[in-house]
Amino acid sequence: MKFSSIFFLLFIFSIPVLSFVQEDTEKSKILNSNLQTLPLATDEKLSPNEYIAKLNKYVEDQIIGHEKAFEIKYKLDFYLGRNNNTKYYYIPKLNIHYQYDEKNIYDSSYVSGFDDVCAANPDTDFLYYVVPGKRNSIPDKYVATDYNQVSNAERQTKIKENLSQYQCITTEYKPDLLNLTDYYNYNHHYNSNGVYKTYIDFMTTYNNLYGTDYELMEPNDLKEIDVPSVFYQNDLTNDKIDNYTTERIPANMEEKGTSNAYRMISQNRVGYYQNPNPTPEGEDVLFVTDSFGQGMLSFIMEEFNSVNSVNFYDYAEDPQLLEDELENNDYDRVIIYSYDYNVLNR
Amino acid sequence: MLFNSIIFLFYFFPIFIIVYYLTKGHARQLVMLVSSLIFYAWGDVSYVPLFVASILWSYLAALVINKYRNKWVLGLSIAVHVIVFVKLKYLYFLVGAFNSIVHSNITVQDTVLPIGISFYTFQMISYLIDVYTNKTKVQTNLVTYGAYVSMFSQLIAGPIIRYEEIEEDLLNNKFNSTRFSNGVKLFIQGLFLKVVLADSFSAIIDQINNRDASDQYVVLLWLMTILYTLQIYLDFNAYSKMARGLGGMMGYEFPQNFNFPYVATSVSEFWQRWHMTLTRWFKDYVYIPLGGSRVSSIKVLRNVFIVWMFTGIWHGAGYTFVFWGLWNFCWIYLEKEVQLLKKLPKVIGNMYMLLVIMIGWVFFMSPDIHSAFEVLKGMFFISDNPVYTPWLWGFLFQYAGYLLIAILYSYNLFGSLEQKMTEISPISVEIGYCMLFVITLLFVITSTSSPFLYFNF
Repeated sequence: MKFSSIFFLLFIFSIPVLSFVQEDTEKSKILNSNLQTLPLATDEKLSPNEYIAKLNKYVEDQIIGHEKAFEIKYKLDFYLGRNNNTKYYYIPKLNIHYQYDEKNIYDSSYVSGFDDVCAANPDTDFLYYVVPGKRNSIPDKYVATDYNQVSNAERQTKIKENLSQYQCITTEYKPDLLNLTDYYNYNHHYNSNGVYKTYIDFMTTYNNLYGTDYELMEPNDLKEIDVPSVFYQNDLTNDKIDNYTTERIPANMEEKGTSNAYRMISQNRVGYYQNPNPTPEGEDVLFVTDSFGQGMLSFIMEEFNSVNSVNFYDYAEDPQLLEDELENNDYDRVIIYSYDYNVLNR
Repeated sequence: MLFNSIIFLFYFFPIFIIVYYLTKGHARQLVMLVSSLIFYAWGDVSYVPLFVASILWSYLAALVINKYRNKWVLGLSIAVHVIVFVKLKYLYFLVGAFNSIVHSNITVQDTVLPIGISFYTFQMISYLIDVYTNKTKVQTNLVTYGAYVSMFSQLIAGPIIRYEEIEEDLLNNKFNSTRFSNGVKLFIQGLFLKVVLADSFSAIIDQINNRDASDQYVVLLWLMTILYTLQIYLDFNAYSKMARGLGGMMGYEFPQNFNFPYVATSVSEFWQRWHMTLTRWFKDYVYIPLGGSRVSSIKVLRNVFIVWMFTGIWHGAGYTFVFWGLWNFCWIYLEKEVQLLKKLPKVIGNMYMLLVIMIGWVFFMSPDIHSAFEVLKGMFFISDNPVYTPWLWGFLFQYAGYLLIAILYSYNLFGSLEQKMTEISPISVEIGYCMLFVITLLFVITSTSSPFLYFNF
């Protein structure tokens, strides 16, 4: 038998053994993807196909060298000039830089349109709430998976500068969130812990700012279904996320087909949530959010009387949408909820 | 289950190969059958009953055909396969076409096509015909026959193998170190083509497709067509190579399915090099029974037309595939009648073939005829699409390396290099394959497995 055959056999036999012996659950924990343990075939809720899909995912997650492979692959990509997220190409050896020519959502002028709307509506209360970047909370060993090359220190300085210039900002940047290691997904967006913590942080800030007295849900109040798996999907760019329902989602949301919070934004839909148990002191808010805010919707909608959620990017691109929305409706508050990229590059 | 998935590479296959070689004779065939059913069920359990029923039907039908040699029995046994196949793959399309012609409103539910049905149905039909025509002996052992049809290495997307081709290896299966080593190399090549090249092109094609219609620059449309031309070849060829490689590791020698089709200098030659086992199937079981080329010219025209209509719709239930078949038919028939191409320099012939084939792929990849023509109008300056965008360079920077490797591979330059290196320093070739495997694994681990394009057909 040839050398390459022996090498091949050595690999395909040793990798599963090593993966079994040295189970690596760290990434799964960060993902909070519930894949730290082998899915059980005895679970009566599982259909065979679902079980197989979970088993595949578990095996993919736990394969030995998984993190190292990611690190090498992304470094390789970077040095080959592939830097997808920032639409920027750099080939170090040739010292060639290339910037995408297409509309760039991280362009410095992209979200400045909100400023004008804020200025034109002095009677409307705006809250600009910043979500810190995932780069800050992922352990250094996983940073290779993040295309963002801005250092933590540089990021914090820039955000503070941006916030100080923005007349409508009423919140402070939250450095304490950066210490949380179970906040963001491995690649993208919140994990299920992160979404709960975001909600708590947001509503605490809100209560403090406006003197409201919204009662926050305790973790013990939450059922598993309230923190659905949709928030820890790695690849949120596809349409494979199944619809889910939660006990907290009112019927009218179901009717509008927006029961999947992420799907709503992925399809640029506008989601309107009306609390079935409104209170006299409850508020009506316009929630301008990027995908990072979607996870909170099923929590905050119970707090307010109504939440109208709209796509941050659509509104940033065309601020007239925001202007029209304010003209035609009577909101108590406009919340602009954004991932820090959008603030950094204002 | 996918060959490029972690579960297959590191769990299914290692366990399978150990158990496979620990057993002998019928027990080994049973291991093959059971493993193949598990492999098949991994994609979707609900497909398994139909698959098993199809195996049982063709097995029993072959026994009856062998006993009575009756063409009606043969016809009935094939008809059952065809009816099931047509019902699942074409009924929705046919009813829709009927509705649009007679303005009726008949409704049928669109069904999900069981994976690999186009391949295993053709394989079973070929077996039934070969038993009837005495080209092959009937297999009386259900396990042996089941192992032949379900063999996981070629179950999902071919090559379409005839029973007689592997009968000897199936009945007297032995470990063959030369076949094993060659199989490993073919598998590594296939894995590399799929995971590193084809999937990279798939990502870029998606990016272009997702752009607004107003952003469909002429150069971008050409780039997309070129990339699709490479992707479909690399993807399908990758699967065939992996299938042959796995077959080799199991002691079989499967027929070649691709022979560098893009080096062809005519459309006819292209089809002698592309999906060779399907072309052979249509030739042997449709074209020749209809009279082949040994009939009047009008009947030859009819025969070629029928074969290409079948080839088109075999690939999919849609007008685009019918048009694609028609497109290929026209050029192949033209080449038969006009001998001009033989006098042209090879480079010109190759460019002509590539242009015809690429235009054909536009229909193949488009959701409908209208979209295909829109793309073609854009490509050939018939519509007023903008011509160029500097944004294109971003794409090319990203994928230039992959593109170059794909083109060099398509023109068999790596094959020639391997041959020379084997003569000079065989160990360097071995080390090269090891490195290729490690690089490919990097891509396997960091990417979610994407299904092969030909699973859809």
